[in-house]
Amino acid sequence: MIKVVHVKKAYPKGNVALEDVSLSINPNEFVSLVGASGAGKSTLVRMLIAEERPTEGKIFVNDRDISHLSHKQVPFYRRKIGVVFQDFKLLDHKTVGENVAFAMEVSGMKGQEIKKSVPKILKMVGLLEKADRFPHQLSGGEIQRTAIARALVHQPKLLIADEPTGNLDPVNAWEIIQLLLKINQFGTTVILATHNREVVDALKKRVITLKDGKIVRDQKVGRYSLKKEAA
Amino acid sequence: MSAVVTGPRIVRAALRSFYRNGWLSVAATAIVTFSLVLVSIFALLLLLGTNVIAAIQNKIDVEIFFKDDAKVADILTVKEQLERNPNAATVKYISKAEALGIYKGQSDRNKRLVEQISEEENPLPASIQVKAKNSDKLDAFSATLESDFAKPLVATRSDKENREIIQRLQRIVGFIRSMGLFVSLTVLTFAVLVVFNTIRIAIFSRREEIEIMRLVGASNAYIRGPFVLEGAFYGIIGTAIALLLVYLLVLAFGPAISSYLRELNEDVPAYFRANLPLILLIQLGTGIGVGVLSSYIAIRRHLRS
Repeated sequence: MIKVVHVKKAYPKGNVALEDVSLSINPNEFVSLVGASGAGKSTLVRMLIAEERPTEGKIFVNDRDISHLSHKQVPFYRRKIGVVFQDFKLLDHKTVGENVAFAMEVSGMKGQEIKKSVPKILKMVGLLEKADRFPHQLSGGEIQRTAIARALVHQPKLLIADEPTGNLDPVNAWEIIQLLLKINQFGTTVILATHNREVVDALKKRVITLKDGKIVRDQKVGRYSLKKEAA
Repeated sequence: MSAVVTGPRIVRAALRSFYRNGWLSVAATAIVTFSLVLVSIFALLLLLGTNVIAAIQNKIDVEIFFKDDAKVADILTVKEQLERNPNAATVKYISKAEALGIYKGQSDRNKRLVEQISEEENPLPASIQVKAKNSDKLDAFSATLESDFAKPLVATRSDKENREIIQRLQRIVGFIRSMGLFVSLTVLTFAVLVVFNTIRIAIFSRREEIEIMRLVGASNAYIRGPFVLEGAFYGIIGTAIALLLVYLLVLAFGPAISSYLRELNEDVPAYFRANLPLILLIQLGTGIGVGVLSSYIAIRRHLRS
Protein backbone atom coordinates (compact mmCIF):
# COMPACT_ATOMS: atom_id res chain seq x y z
CA MET A 1 0.00 0.00 0.00
CA ILE A 2 2.65 2.50 1.08
CA LYS A 3 6.37 2.33 0.53
CA VAL A 4 8.65 5.04 1.81
CA VAL A 5 12.12 4.58 0.36
CA HIS A 6 15.15 6.35 1.86
CA VAL A 7 13.31 9.59 2.30
CA LYS A 8 15.15 12.66 3.47
CA LYS A 9 13.64 16.05 4.06
CA ALA A 10 15.89 19.01 4.59
CA TYR A 11 14.65 22.59 4.80
CA PRO A 12 16.46 25.48 3.17
CA LYS A 13 17.84 26.76 6.48
CA GLY A 14 19.67 23.51 6.95
CA ASN A 15 17.59 21.72 9.54
CA VAL A 16 16.83 18.17 8.62
CA ALA A 17 13.33 16.96 9.49
CA LEU A 18 13.70 13.41 8.21
CA GLU A 19 16.83 11.41 7.61
CA ASP A 20 16.84 8.27 5.54
CA VAL A 21 13.39 7.02 6.51
CA SER A 22 12.19 3.79 4.93
CA LEU A 23 9.03 1.93 5.80
CA SER A 24 6.39 -0.19 4.26
CA ILE A 25 2.72 -0.41 5.16
CA ASN A 26 0.46 -3.19 3.91
CA PRO A 27 -3.13 -2.76 2.80
CA ASN A 28 -5.63 -2.76 5.64
CA GLU A 29 -3.04 -2.10 8.33
CA PHE A 30 -3.61 0.23 11.25
CA VAL A 31 -0.34 1.98 12.00
CA SER A 32 0.42 4.48 14.71
CA LEU A 33 3.16 6.95 14.04
CA VAL A 34 4.53 8.22 17.32
CA GLY A 35 7.26 10.49 18.51
CA ALA A 36 7.77 13.75 20.33
CA SER A 37 7.12 17.09 18.69
CA GLY A 38 9.79 17.73 16.12
CA ALA A 39 10.52 14.03 15.63
CA GLY A 40 9.33 14.25 12.03
CA LYS A 41 5.80 12.86 12.27
CA SER A 42 4.14 15.88 10.74
CA THR A 43 6.73 16.13 7.99
CA LEU A 44 6.10 12.52 7.05
CA VAL A 45 2.34 13.09 7.10
CA ARG A 46 2.67 16.21 4.94
CA MET A 47 4.65 14.24 2.40
CA LEU A 48 2.11 11.42 2.43
CA ILE A 49 -0.64 13.88 1.51
CA ALA A 50 1.60 15.49 -1.15
CA GLU A 51 1.73 18.78 0.71
CA GLU A 52 5.51 18.61 0.69
CA ARG A 53 8.06 16.82 -1.43
CA PRO A 54 10.97 14.81 -0.11
CA THR A 55 14.44 16.21 -0.69
CA GLU A 56 15.68 12.73 -1.45
CA GLY A 57 14.03 9.35 -1.80
CA LYS A 58 10.63 8.27 -3.01
CA ILE A 59 7.20 7.61 -1.65
CA PHE A 60 4.87 5.13 -3.31
CA VAL A 61 1.18 4.94 -2.57
CA ASN A 62 -0.58 2.11 -4.38
CA ASP A 63 2.57 1.66 -6.50
CA ARG A 64 2.41 5.26 -7.63
CA ASP A 65 5.30 7.61 -6.93
CA ILE A 66 3.72 10.57 -5.20
CA SER A 67 6.95 12.32 -4.28
CA HIS A 68 6.96 14.37 -7.45
CA LEU A 69 3.34 14.99 -8.33
CA SER A 70 2.69 18.11 -10.37
CA HIS A 71 0.39 20.89 -9.18
CA LYS A 72 -2.30 19.51 -11.43
CA GLN A 73 -2.01 15.95 -10.17
CA VAL A 74 -2.11 16.74 -6.45
CA PRO A 75 -5.90 17.39 -6.25
CA PHE A 76 -6.66 14.08 -7.92
CA TYR A 77 -4.35 12.25 -5.57
CA ARG A 78 -6.00 13.93 -2.56
CA ARG A 79 -9.39 12.64 -3.67
CA LYS A 80 -8.09 9.13 -3.30
CA ILE A 81 -6.98 9.55 0.30
CA GLY A 82 -8.75 10.79 3.40
CA VAL A 83 -7.06 13.22 5.76
CA VAL A 84 -8.01 14.28 9.28
CA PHE A 85 -6.27 17.04 11.22
CA GLN A 86 -5.83 18.04 14.82
CA ASP A 87 -7.50 21.41 14.18
CA PHE A 88 -10.36 19.78 12.23
CA LYS A 89 -10.22 22.29 9.36
CA LEU A 90 -13.98 22.59 9.05
CA LEU A 91 -15.76 25.66 7.72
CA ASP A 92 -17.53 27.42 10.60
CA HIS A 93 -20.23 28.94 8.41
CA LYS A 94 -21.26 25.59 7.01
CA THR A 95 -23.31 22.93 8.78
CA VAL A 96 -22.09 19.39 9.37
CA GLY A 97 -23.86 18.22 6.24
CA GLU A 98 -22.59 21.14 4.18
CA ASN A 99 -19.02 20.58 5.32
CA VAL A 100 -19.19 16.99 4.16
CA ALA A 101 -20.93 17.99 0.93
CA PHE A 102 -18.27 20.66 0.31
CA ALA A 103 -15.56 18.05 -0.28
CA MET A 104 -17.78 16.40 -2.88
CA GLU A 105 -18.71 19.71 -4.53
CA VAL A 106 -15.13 20.79 -5.06
CA SER A 107 -14.29 17.51 -6.72
CA GLY A 108 -17.12 17.94 -9.20
CA MET A 109 -19.65 15.38 -7.99
CA LYS A 110 -23.20 15.91 -9.16
CA GLY A 111 -25.72 17.49 -6.80
CA GLN A 112 -28.03 14.50 -6.67
CA GLU A 113 -25.15 12.17 -5.95
CA ILE A 114 -24.03 14.44 -3.10
CA LYS A 115 -27.54 14.55 -1.64
CA LYS A 116 -27.65 10.78 -1.58
CA SER A 117 -24.15 10.23 -0.21
CA VAL A 118 -24.03 12.75 2.64
CA PRO A 119 -26.63 11.04 4.89
CA LYS A 120 -24.99 7.66 4.36
CA ILE A 121 -21.61 8.95 5.43
CA LEU A 122 -23.03 10.89 8.37
CA LYS A 123 -24.85 7.78 9.52
CA MET A 124 -21.58 5.90 9.48
CA VAL A 125 -19.96 8.35 11.89
CA GLY A 126 -23.16 8.64 13.94
CA LEU A 127 -23.98 12.26 13.13
CA LEU A 128 -27.03 11.88 10.93
CA GLU A 129 -29.34 13.68 13.35
CA LYS A 130 -26.85 16.56 13.71
CA ALA A 131 -26.47 17.22 9.98
CA ASP A 132 -27.92 20.72 10.28
CA ARG A 133 -25.82 21.83 13.25
CA PHE A 134 -22.94 24.23 12.85
CA PRO A 135 -19.50 23.25 14.19
CA HIS A 136 -19.78 25.64 17.16
CA GLN A 137 -22.90 23.78 18.29
CA LEU A 138 -21.01 20.48 18.53
CA SER A 139 -18.66 18.80 21.00
CA GLY A 140 -15.00 18.35 20.07
CA GLY A 141 -15.58 14.69 19.33
CA GLU A 142 -18.53 15.48 17.09
CA ILE A 143 -16.50 18.07 15.23
CA GLN A 144 -13.72 15.57 14.60
CA ARG A 145 -16.28 12.97 13.51
CA THR A 146 -17.56 15.50 10.99
CA ALA A 147 -14.03 15.89 9.69
CA ILE A 148 -13.67 12.11 9.48
CA ALA A 149 -16.96 11.92 7.58
CA ARG A 150 -15.61 14.47 5.15
CA ALA A 151 -12.42 12.43 4.75
CA LEU A 152 -14.52 9.43 3.78
CA VAL A 153 -16.52 11.01 0.96
CA HIS A 154 -14.43 9.43 -1.77
CA GLN A 155 -14.30 6.03 -0.04
CA PRO A 156 -10.55 6.24 0.33
CA LYS A 157 -8.33 3.19 0.65
CA LEU A 158 -6.05 5.22 2.87
CA LEU A 159 -6.96 7.45 5.79
CA ILE A 160 -4.29 9.64 7.34
CA ALA A 161 -5.07 11.13 10.75
CA ASP A 162 -2.65 13.76 11.99
CA GLU A 163 -3.08 14.13 15.77
CA PRO A 164 -6.85 13.70 15.52
CA THR A 165 -7.23 13.53 19.29
CA GLY A 166 -4.83 16.34 20.09
CA ASN A 167 -7.58 18.83 20.96
CA LEU A 168 -9.94 16.36 22.62
CA ASP A 169 -10.56 15.16 26.18
CA PRO A 170 -9.91 11.44 26.85
CA VAL A 171 -13.55 10.39 26.41
CA ASN A 172 -13.93 12.16 23.08
CA ALA A 173 -10.47 10.98 22.03
CA TRP A 174 -11.37 7.39 22.63
CA GLU A 175 -14.59 7.83 20.68
CA ILE A 176 -12.54 8.99 17.68
CA ILE A 177 -10.10 6.10 17.96
CA GLN A 178 -13.03 3.66 18.00
CA LEU A 179 -14.33 5.24 14.83
CA LEU A 180 -10.92 4.96 13.15
CA LEU A 181 -10.77 1.28 14.13
CA LYS A 182 -14.23 0.77 12.64
CA ILE A 183 -13.12 2.42 9.39
CA ASN A 184 -10.05 0.20 9.40
CA GLN A 185 -12.26 -2.87 9.78
CA PHE A 186 -14.18 -1.84 6.68
CA GLY A 187 -10.97 -2.16 4.70
CA THR A 188 -9.26 1.22 4.84
CA THR A 189 -5.60 1.52 5.75
CA VAL A 190 -5.26 3.95 8.65
CA ILE A 191 -2.16 5.91 9.59
CA LEU A 192 -2.51 7.61 12.94
CA ALA A 193 0.11 10.18 13.84
CA THR A 194 -0.15 10.88 17.55
CA HIS A 195 1.64 11.43 20.80
CA ASN A 196 -1.22 10.21 22.92
CA ARG A 197 0.33 7.45 25.04
CA GLU A 198 -2.92 5.95 26.38
CA VAL A 199 -4.36 5.64 22.92
CA VAL A 200 -1.34 3.94 21.43
CA ASP A 201 -0.89 1.54 24.31
CA ALA A 202 -4.55 0.51 24.25
CA LEU A 203 -4.65 -0.05 20.50
CA LYS A 204 -2.26 -3.00 20.44
CA LYS A 205 -1.49 -2.37 16.78
CA ARG A 206 1.67 -1.66 14.85
CA VAL A 207 3.64 1.32 16.14
CA ILE A 208 6.39 3.16 14.29
CA THR A 209 8.43 5.44 16.52
CA LEU A 210 10.27 8.42 15.11
CA LYS A 211 13.01 10.30 16.86
CA ASP A 212 15.10 13.15 15.49
CA GLY A 213 13.98 12.37 11.98
CA LYS A 214 14.77 8.67 12.11
CA ILE A 215 12.75 5.54 12.70
CA VAL A 216 13.99 4.18 16.03
CA ARG A 217 11.44 1.41 16.46
CA ASP A 218 8.88 -0.46 14.39
CA GLN A 219 6.87 -2.99 16.40
CA LYS A 220 4.05 -5.28 15.27
CA VAL A 221 2.21 -4.76 18.54
CA GLY A 222 3.77 -1.68 19.96
CA ARG A 223 3.67 0.53 22.97
CA TYR A 224 4.35 4.19 23.21
CA SER A 225 7.66 4.70 24.86
CA LEU A 226 10.18 7.43 24.70
CA LYS A 227 12.71 5.62 26.84
CA LYS A 228 16.00 4.91 25.17
CA GLU A 229 15.78 1.30 24.19
CA ALA A 230 17.46 -0.67 21.51
CA ALA A 231 15.40 -0.67 18.36
CA MET B 1 -15.21 16.64 -13.42
CA SER B 2 -17.38 18.35 -15.91
CA ALA B 3 -17.80 22.06 -16.38
CA VAL B 4 -21.58 21.59 -16.39
CA VAL B 5 -21.41 20.54 -12.75
CA THR B 6 -18.67 22.85 -11.50
CA GLY B 7 -19.55 25.88 -13.65
CA PRO B 8 -22.64 26.94 -11.69
CA ARG B 9 -20.81 26.34 -8.41
CA ILE B 10 -17.99 28.62 -9.49
CA VAL B 11 -20.45 31.31 -10.64
CA ARG B 12 -22.34 31.14 -7.33
CA ALA B 13 -19.12 31.37 -5.34
CA ALA B 14 -18.01 34.37 -7.41
CA LEU B 15 -21.32 36.19 -6.92
CA ARG B 16 -21.22 35.49 -3.18
CA SER B 17 -17.67 36.80 -2.93
CA PHE B 18 -18.54 39.90 -4.96
CA TYR B 19 -21.47 40.60 -2.64
CA ARG B 20 -19.53 39.92 0.56
CA ASN B 21 -16.70 42.16 -0.54
CA GLY B 22 -19.21 45.01 -0.38
CA TRP B 23 -17.58 48.41 -0.69
CA LEU B 24 -14.39 46.89 -1.99
CA SER B 25 -16.33 45.53 -4.94
CA VAL B 26 -17.88 48.95 -5.42
CA ALA B 27 -14.46 50.63 -5.37
CA ALA B 28 -12.98 48.10 -7.78
CA THR B 29 -15.93 48.46 -10.14
CA ALA B 30 -15.71 52.25 -9.89
CA ILE B 31 -12.05 52.43 -10.84
CA VAL B 32 -12.62 50.02 -13.72
CA THR B 33 -15.57 52.16 -14.84
CA PHE B 34 -13.51 55.33 -14.59
CA SER B 35 -10.66 53.92 -16.64
CA LEU B 36 -13.07 52.58 -19.24
CA VAL B 37 -14.72 55.99 -19.57
CA LEU B 38 -11.33 57.63 -20.12
CA VAL B 39 -10.20 54.99 -22.58
CA SER B 40 -13.48 55.33 -24.50
CA ILE B 41 -13.31 59.10 -24.62
CA PHE B 42 -9.82 59.01 -26.06
CA ALA B 43 -10.76 56.25 -28.48
CA LEU B 44 -13.76 58.28 -29.64
CA LEU B 45 -11.74 61.46 -30.06
CA LEU B 46 -9.15 59.54 -32.05
CA LEU B 47 -11.81 58.03 -34.28
CA LEU B 48 -13.43 61.41 -34.81
CA GLY B 49 -10.15 63.13 -35.51
CA THR B 50 -9.09 60.49 -38.00
CA ASN B 51 -12.44 60.75 -39.73
CA VAL B 52 -12.26 64.52 -39.91
CA ILE B 53 -8.86 64.32 -41.54
CA ALA B 54 -10.11 61.73 -43.98
CA ALA B 55 -13.17 63.86 -44.71
CA ILE B 56 -11.06 66.91 -45.47
CA GLN B 57 -8.65 64.91 -47.56
CA ASN B 58 -11.56 63.55 -49.53
CA LYS B 59 -12.63 67.05 -50.34
CA ILE B 60 -11.22 69.02 -53.19
CA ASP B 61 -7.49 69.31 -52.84
CA VAL B 62 -7.01 72.45 -54.86
CA GLU B 63 -9.71 74.93 -55.70
CA ILE B 64 -8.76 77.82 -57.96
CA PHE B 65 -10.95 80.89 -58.20
CA PHE B 66 -10.53 83.02 -61.27
CA LYS B 67 -10.76 86.74 -61.66
CA ASP B 68 -13.95 88.01 -63.26
CA ASP B 69 -12.06 89.35 -66.28
CA ALA B 70 -10.38 86.01 -67.08
CA LYS B 71 -11.51 84.64 -70.42
CA VAL B 72 -13.26 81.28 -70.41
CA ALA B 73 -10.92 80.00 -73.15
CA ASP B 74 -7.90 80.85 -70.98
CA ILE B 75 -9.43 79.13 -67.99
CA LEU B 76 -10.03 76.03 -70.05
CA THR B 77 -6.38 76.11 -71.16
CA VAL B 78 -5.34 76.14 -67.51
CA LYS B 79 -7.72 73.24 -66.93
CA GLU B 80 -6.05 71.26 -69.73
CA GLN B 81 -2.62 72.02 -68.26
CA LEU B 82 -3.78 70.77 -64.89
CA GLU B 83 -5.30 67.63 -66.41
CA ARG B 84 -1.93 66.77 -67.90
CA ASN B 85 -0.49 66.52 -64.39
CA PRO B 86 -0.05 62.80 -63.48
CA ASN B 87 -1.20 63.50 -59.93
CA ALA B 88 -4.59 64.81 -61.10
CA ALA B 89 -7.52 62.53 -60.34
CA THR B 90 -10.31 64.82 -61.49
CA VAL B 91 -10.29 68.37 -62.73
CA LYS B 92 -13.61 70.10 -62.85
CA TYR B 93 -14.50 73.49 -64.30
CA ILE B 94 -17.30 75.42 -62.70
CA SER B 95 -18.50 78.46 -64.60
CA LYS B 96 -19.87 81.59 -62.94
CA ALA B 97 -23.40 80.48 -63.82
CA GLU B 98 -22.87 77.02 -62.39
CA ALA B 99 -21.41 78.49 -59.22
CA LEU B 100 -24.52 80.59 -58.83
CA GLY B 101 -26.69 77.50 -59.37
CA ILE B 102 -24.79 75.56 -56.71
CA TYR B 103 -25.09 78.50 -54.33
CA LYS B 104 -28.81 78.72 -54.93
CA GLY B 105 -29.18 75.02 -54.39
CA GLN B 106 -27.55 75.12 -50.96
CA SER B 107 -30.50 76.69 -49.14
CA ASP B 108 -33.79 78.47 -49.54
CA ARG B 109 -32.30 81.55 -47.99
CA ASN B 110 -29.55 81.59 -50.62
CA LYS B 111 -32.15 81.16 -53.31
CA ARG B 112 -34.16 84.16 -52.14
CA LEU B 113 -30.98 86.22 -51.92
CA VAL B 114 -29.91 85.33 -55.44
CA GLU B 115 -33.32 86.15 -56.83
CA GLN B 116 -32.59 89.78 -55.99
CA ILE B 117 -29.73 89.97 -58.46
CA SER B 118 -29.60 89.57 -62.22
CA GLU B 119 -27.36 87.18 -64.18
CA GLU B 120 -25.02 90.01 -65.16
CA GLU B 121 -24.47 90.95 -61.56
CA ASN B 122 -23.44 87.42 -60.57
CA PRO B 123 -20.73 88.02 -57.94
CA LEU B 124 -19.50 84.42 -57.83
CA PRO B 125 -16.21 83.58 -59.52
CA ALA B 126 -15.60 80.80 -62.02
CA SER B 127 -13.42 78.07 -60.55
CA ILE B 128 -11.57 74.84 -61.17
CA GLN B 129 -11.67 72.05 -58.59
CA VAL B 130 -8.78 69.63 -58.64
CA LYS B 131 -8.86 66.35 -56.80
CA ALA B 132 -5.36 64.89 -56.48
CA LYS B 133 -4.41 61.25 -56.37
CA ASN B 134 -1.96 62.07 -53.63
CA SER B 135 -2.92 65.12 -51.64
CA ASP B 136 0.52 65.38 -50.04
CA LYS B 137 2.03 66.32 -53.39
CA LEU B 138 0.31 69.43 -54.58
CA ASP B 139 3.45 71.31 -55.57
CA ALA B 140 3.18 70.22 -59.22
CA PHE B 141 -0.19 71.99 -59.46
CA SER B 142 1.33 75.07 -57.92
CA ALA B 143 3.95 75.19 -60.66
CA THR B 144 1.22 75.28 -63.30
CA LEU B 145 -0.71 77.94 -61.46
CA GLU B 146 2.33 80.09 -60.79
CA SER B 147 3.23 80.14 -64.49
CA ASP B 148 3.20 83.43 -66.39
CA PHE B 149 0.14 82.35 -68.29
CA ALA B 150 -2.04 81.25 -65.37
CA LYS B 151 -0.95 83.56 -62.61
CA PRO B 152 -2.69 86.74 -63.87
CA LEU B 153 -5.98 84.85 -64.19
CA VAL B 154 -6.07 83.43 -60.67
CA ALA B 155 -7.79 85.34 -57.90
CA THR B 156 -7.25 82.92 -54.99
CA ARG B 157 -6.36 79.28 -54.31
CA SER B 158 -7.38 77.02 -51.47
CA ASP B 159 -4.73 74.28 -51.47
CA LYS B 160 -2.38 75.96 -49.04
CA GLU B 161 -5.22 76.61 -46.66
CA ASN B 162 -6.39 72.97 -46.69
CA ARG B 163 -2.96 71.62 -46.18
CA GLU B 164 -2.51 73.77 -43.11
CA ILE B 165 -5.81 72.59 -41.66
CA ILE B 166 -4.89 68.97 -42.23
CA GLN B 167 -1.48 69.41 -40.67
CA ARG B 168 -2.99 71.13 -37.68
CA LEU B 169 -5.54 68.34 -37.29
CA GLN B 170 -2.86 65.70 -37.61
CA ARG B 171 -0.93 67.40 -34.85
CA ILE B 172 -4.05 67.44 -32.66
CA VAL B 173 -4.80 63.80 -33.40
CA GLY B 174 -1.19 62.88 -32.67
CA PHE B 175 -1.42 64.73 -29.38
CA ILE B 176 -4.68 63.01 -28.49
CA ARG B 177 -3.11 59.67 -29.35
CA SER B 178 -0.04 60.07 -27.14
CA MET B 179 -1.97 61.83 -24.39
CA GLY B 180 -4.69 59.18 -24.55
CA LEU B 181 -2.17 56.39 -24.44
CA PHE B 182 -0.41 57.90 -21.45
CA VAL B 183 -3.57 58.69 -19.48
CA SER B 184 -5.18 55.36 -20.38
CA LEU B 185 -2.15 53.33 -19.38
CA THR B 186 -1.81 55.23 -16.12
CA VAL B 187 -5.42 54.82 -15.12
CA LEU B 188 -5.48 51.20 -16.29
CA THR B 189 -2.46 50.51 -14.11
CA PHE B 190 -4.34 51.95 -11.15
CA ALA B 191 -7.33 49.81 -12.04
CA VAL B 192 -5.18 46.68 -12.19
CA LEU B 193 -3.66 47.50 -8.81
CA VAL B 194 -7.01 48.19 -7.16
CA VAL B 195 -8.62 45.04 -8.55
CA PHE B 196 -5.52 43.05 -7.64
CA ASN B 197 -5.71 44.23 -4.04
CA THR B 198 -9.45 43.76 -3.83
CA ILE B 199 -9.09 40.17 -4.94
CA ARG B 200 -6.21 39.72 -2.53
CA ILE B 201 -8.44 40.83 0.30
CA ALA B 202 -11.14 38.46 -0.95
CA ILE B 203 -8.56 35.69 -0.95
CA PHE B 204 -7.36 36.65 2.50
CA SER B 205 -10.86 36.59 3.96
CA ARG B 206 -11.41 33.15 2.46
CA ARG B 207 -7.92 31.73 3.00
CA GLU B 208 -9.22 29.08 5.37
CA GLU B 209 -11.77 27.93 2.83
CA ILE B 210 -9.09 27.85 0.14
CA GLU B 211 -6.80 25.79 2.35
CA ILE B 212 -9.59 23.33 3.03
CA MET B 213 -10.50 23.18 -0.64
CA ARG B 214 -6.94 22.22 -1.44
CA LEU B 215 -6.84 19.60 1.27
CA VAL B 216 -10.02 17.91 0.12
CA GLY B 217 -8.85 17.79 -3.48
CA ALA B 218 -10.21 20.84 -5.28
CA SER B 219 -8.34 21.48 -8.50
CA ASN B 220 -6.50 24.77 -8.84
CA ALA B 221 -8.84 25.77 -11.63
CA TYR B 222 -11.83 25.26 -9.34
CA ILE B 223 -10.25 27.38 -6.60
CA ARG B 224 -9.16 30.07 -9.02
CA GLY B 225 -12.49 30.19 -10.88
CA PRO B 226 -14.56 32.29 -8.49
CA PHE B 227 -11.83 34.90 -8.00
CA VAL B 228 -11.10 35.28 -11.69
CA LEU B 229 -14.82 35.49 -12.36
CA GLU B 230 -15.19 38.10 -9.64
CA GLY B 231 -12.55 40.13 -11.45
CA ALA B 232 -14.50 39.68 -14.68
CA PHE B 233 -17.65 40.97 -12.93
CA TYR B 234 -15.85 44.24 -12.19
CA GLY B 235 -15.12 44.49 -15.89
CA ILE B 236 -18.64 43.61 -17.03
CA ILE B 237 -20.44 45.90 -14.59
CA GLY B 238 -17.83 48.57 -15.23
CA THR B 239 -18.51 48.32 -18.96
CA ALA B 240 -22.26 48.67 -18.50
CA ILE B 241 -21.87 51.81 -16.38
CA ALA B 242 -19.08 53.25 -18.52
CA LEU B 243 -21.09 52.79 -21.70
CA LEU B 244 -23.98 54.70 -20.16
CA LEU B 245 -21.70 57.46 -18.85
CA VAL B 246 -19.92 57.86 -22.17
CA TYR B 247 -23.23 58.03 -24.00
CA LEU B 248 -24.44 60.74 -21.62
CA LEU B 249 -21.19 62.63 -22.19
CA VAL B 250 -21.63 62.27 -25.93
CA LEU B 251 -25.18 63.59 -25.69
CA ALA B 252 -24.01 66.51 -23.57
CA PHE B 253 -20.95 67.53 -25.61
CA GLY B 254 -21.77 65.99 -28.98
CA PRO B 255 -23.59 68.97 -30.47
CA ALA B 256 -20.74 71.30 -29.53
CA ILE B 257 -18.19 68.97 -31.11
CA SER B 258 -20.34 68.53 -34.19
CA SER B 259 -20.58 72.26 -34.80
CA TYR B 260 -16.87 72.71 -34.13
CA LEU B 261 -15.91 69.97 -36.57
CA ARG B 262 -18.18 70.96 -39.43
CA GLU B 263 -16.05 69.03 -41.88
CA LEU B 264 -17.15 65.78 -40.25
CA ASN B 265 -20.70 66.40 -41.42
CA GLU B 266 -21.85 63.98 -38.79
CA ASP B 267 -23.73 64.30 -35.57
CA VAL B 268 -21.63 62.83 -32.79
CA PRO B 269 -24.35 60.96 -30.84
CA ALA B 270 -25.41 59.23 -34.06
CA TYR B 271 -21.79 58.48 -34.73
CA PHE B 272 -21.52 56.96 -31.23
CA ARG B 273 -24.58 54.81 -31.82
CA ALA B 274 -23.25 53.66 -35.19
CA ASN B 275 -19.94 52.65 -33.63
CA LEU B 276 -21.54 51.13 -30.52
CA PRO B 277 -20.38 47.55 -31.25
CA LEU B 278 -16.78 48.71 -31.59
CA ILE B 279 -16.93 50.85 -28.43
CA LEU B 280 -18.62 48.02 -26.54
CA LEU B 281 -15.92 45.64 -27.70
CA ILE B 282 -13.13 47.99 -26.62
CA GLN B 283 -14.71 48.56 -23.21
CA LEU B 284 -15.65 44.96 -22.54
CA GLY B 285 -12.26 43.74 -23.71
CA THR B 286 -10.39 46.24 -21.57
CA GLY B 287 -12.67 45.81 -18.55
CA ILE B 288 -12.66 42.04 -18.50
CA GLY B 289 -8.97 42.06 -19.39
CA VAL B 290 -8.12 44.23 -16.39
CA GLY B 291 -10.37 42.27 -14.03
CA VAL B 292 -9.36 38.80 -15.09
CA LEU B 293 -5.66 39.54 -15.41
CA SER B 294 -5.28 41.12 -11.98
CA SER B 295 -7.35 38.54 -10.15
CA TYR B 296 -5.63 35.71 -11.97
CA ILE B 297 -2.24 36.99 -10.87
CA ALA B 298 -3.48 37.49 -7.30
CA ILE B 299 -4.90 33.98 -6.88
CA ARG B 300 -2.04 32.36 -8.71
CA ARG B 301 0.44 34.00 -6.38
CA HIS B 302 -1.57 32.83 -3.42
CA LEU B 303 -1.78 29.24 -4.61
CA ARG B 304 1.92 29.12 -5.39
CA SER B 305 3.06 30.36 -2.00
